[in-house]
Amino acid sequence: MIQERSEHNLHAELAASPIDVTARLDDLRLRAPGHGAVVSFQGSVRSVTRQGEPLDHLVLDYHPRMTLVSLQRIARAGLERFDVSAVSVVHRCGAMTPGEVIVFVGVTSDHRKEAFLAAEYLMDRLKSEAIFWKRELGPFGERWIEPTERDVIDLERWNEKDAGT
Amino acid sequence: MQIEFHGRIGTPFGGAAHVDIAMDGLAVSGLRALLASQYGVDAIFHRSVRAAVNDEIVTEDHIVQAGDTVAFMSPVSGG
Repeated sequence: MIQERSEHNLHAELAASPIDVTARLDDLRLRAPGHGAVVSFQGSVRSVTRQGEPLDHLVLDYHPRMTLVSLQRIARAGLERFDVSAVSVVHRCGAMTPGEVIVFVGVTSDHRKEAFLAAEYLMDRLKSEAIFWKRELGPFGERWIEPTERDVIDLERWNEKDAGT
Repeated sequence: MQIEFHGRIGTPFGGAAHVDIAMDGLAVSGLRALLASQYGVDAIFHRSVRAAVNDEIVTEDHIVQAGDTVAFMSPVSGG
């Protein structure tokens, strides 16, 4: 862990070492005892690039102060927008190899629907708004990555009037 | 004054830069011009490269003072 901000029902963390998903789930459960639903998502580094080339490393550069603030802001937005009891967002930084967990999102709530919605909302915002700069390294050399059109569309749908209902 | 760079814009600067500014400060637009002339990097003028002063995104007319933490950032990739 490099940095974290934690309150009783909200956890945001920037991690420089592999994410222990089991430990993060245990921590999440303790933050909201009595919940009826736990929904979690973990994203992993793919083994090939969008262009189909083999990937050696994915590198996430971060801002020494603003990145954690962005993770915390997104986590808080999920907590406030949905009827959920706790939210945990943990994001890796630095160099990763294919298969490593890059992000963990966990949500607890009384009922599953709100937890699923909140987890999807958190991931859509993280994919576009979290303050990271990504580079792919492989036989092709080094390449910077920017959000895709799909990422933008996924994010914009939450601005619609009936989003999440 | 040390300037931070984040993302693709950091490459032509080698990751960081140093400039001297006047005691009464310098607008962000002027700081871009100074960096471009001192380092020969016109990419600093690209509109997608945002400036942050003391960890807040600022506009081109914001006056940078000695002692501020200044960063120029390429568009974020997201997580």
